[in-house]
Amino acid sequence: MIDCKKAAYIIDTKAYKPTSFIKKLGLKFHLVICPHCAKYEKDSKAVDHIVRYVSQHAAALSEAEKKEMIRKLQAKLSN
Amino acid sequence: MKKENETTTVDNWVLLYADYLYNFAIVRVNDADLAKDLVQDTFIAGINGLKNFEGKSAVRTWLTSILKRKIIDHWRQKESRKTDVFSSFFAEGKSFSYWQEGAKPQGRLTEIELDIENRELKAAILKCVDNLPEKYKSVFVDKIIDEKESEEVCKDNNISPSNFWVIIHRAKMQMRACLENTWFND
Repeated sequence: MIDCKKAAYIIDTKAYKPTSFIKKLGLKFHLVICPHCAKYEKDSKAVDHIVRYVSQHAAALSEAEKKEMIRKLQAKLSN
Repeated sequence: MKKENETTTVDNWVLLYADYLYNFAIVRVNDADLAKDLVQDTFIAGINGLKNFEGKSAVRTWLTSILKRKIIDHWRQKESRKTDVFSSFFAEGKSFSYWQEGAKPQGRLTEIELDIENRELKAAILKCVDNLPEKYKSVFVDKIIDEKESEEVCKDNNISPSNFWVIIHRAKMQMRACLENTWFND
């Protein structure tokens, strides 16, 4: 039987790392008896979605900011 | 003549790459003005190093690598002023006492997904990424956000595969705790 420490590790890595059938099965059994890790699995997936979404929609520069950047760069380069 | 070339190049770079680089920076430093400065410094460094650019990679990739070094320098400076508030979460626990009292997962983060367009929430999420220790942040952002190949991330950050997976795990533990603490701090 795997413990919470191992379970949490498998939960966080299995989406990206080849994980053996035995480990996945061990995790399944653990999740049946451990509500904390079951919740952790839900949260762990959400973390990836959340940060990926927010990062991809983080920010763009406005036209004015780009113009300002060009102005500053021109000034620095002409020195 | 040389000056003229430089100014045309830099104009084009701003139009072509500023948005991409700015987004790359802001996810990692969580500060609009600082991100702009870093992008600007990157363009200057790029112009100055243009004669050394061998064209082996795309210009955007090359500029990104310059920006990345600048971000890492910034983290190093910042890191020396910061303490790890989450270290208690990683205290070695045994089996079922692993989830410490007050830090047990609640499974509520899916609620955040529904509210993702909320501006305050976005800021809070970027703040949590920013709070990661430097060595976790680089790996976490490359792998989870930019979805790079694991081998590539190991090489870029100069770490072993086993170390890599432990960092991914710890960074995610910390991100989860941070998101929950900042968004559901009742």
